[in-house]
Amino acid sequence: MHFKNDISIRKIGDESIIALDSEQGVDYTQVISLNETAAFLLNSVIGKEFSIEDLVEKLLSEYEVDENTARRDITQIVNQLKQIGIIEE
Amino acid sequence: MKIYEPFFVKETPFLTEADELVFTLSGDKSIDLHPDYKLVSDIDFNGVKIKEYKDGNSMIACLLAQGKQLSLQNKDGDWKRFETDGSFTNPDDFRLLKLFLVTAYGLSTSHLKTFKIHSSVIEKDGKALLFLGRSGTGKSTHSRLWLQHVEGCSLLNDDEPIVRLMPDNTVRVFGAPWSGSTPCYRNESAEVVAFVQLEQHSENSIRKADGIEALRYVVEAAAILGSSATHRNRVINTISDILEKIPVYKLQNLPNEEAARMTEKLLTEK
Repeated sequence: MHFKNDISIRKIGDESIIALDSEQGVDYTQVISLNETAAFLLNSVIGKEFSIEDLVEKLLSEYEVDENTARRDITQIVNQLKQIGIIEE
Repeated sequence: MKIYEPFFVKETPFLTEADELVFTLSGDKSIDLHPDYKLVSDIDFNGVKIKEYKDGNSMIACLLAQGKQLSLQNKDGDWKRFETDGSFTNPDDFRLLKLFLVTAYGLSTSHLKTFKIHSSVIEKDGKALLFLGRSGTGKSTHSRLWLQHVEGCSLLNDDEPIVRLMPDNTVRVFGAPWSGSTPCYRNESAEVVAFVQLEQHSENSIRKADGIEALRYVVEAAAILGSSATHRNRVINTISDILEKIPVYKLQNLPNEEAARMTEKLLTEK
């Protein structure tokens, strides 16, 4: 899977958001708020083809978390981003 | 035309084809709203009816107020060359054209990382604070409190200044030939230190706003053309860029000196 549009992750104060960089063809009425961990993970795969397993591996290498929890949380985030149409297969 | 005088280019250099003008507007033209034009938006803005028609790239906007109507056309969809059937020398026409100029300026500068914002701006020693909030929340009142209590400050614009992310990555706010009901037309600029969202309250308090909350305050205040996704995306991207550098605060306040002293700290502690 990959990001459907050019995106960038912006840090505004103490929070991060996903911003869509494309000027055309995007309905920019949604801005997505990210916690620090999600911002770190998604930043690492911008412009790349990636799988849920890539993100799980990345998360486990940086944070103290058990693998099942990591996979469950990541799957949830990815599904949300797919639903909004930011990530596609 | 008088309020535009501080903004006139005094010694007009000879312009070549290569010089980029933000946009041009030519008066006394004939405009043909033929049946292929479809109505795309119909809004009422400060007592002026604005109807926008499109045929392919070509756009015609009809402005109607107090029984007076005039049309504007942009044939290439580039927001660069406009023609109008109005006349610059007719005061009634010019009053309507002024409304158009404000909008067209905002639209045709978005690619220069520039946007218009609904704000009252206080400047001191070259640094500025932008007070935001819905009409009636006390932006102008807060600026007036600054003028009363803070030495050496001045009002840069009271309603619709221009914000630009400069090519050198600094953020500046500019005065404009429009300023709501306050006559304050200054061709000057200042470095933006912070945006402050105002809200009336029974006591004074200030806190930092982050993430979506911060973005929301500035996007809601920015002039964005709803019918153009390109314009909207450009302005929101510019705002996102700016907010990585410039903080946003939320001030709950009473209209008193203590409130002004709270925002004064944002400038002096910078």
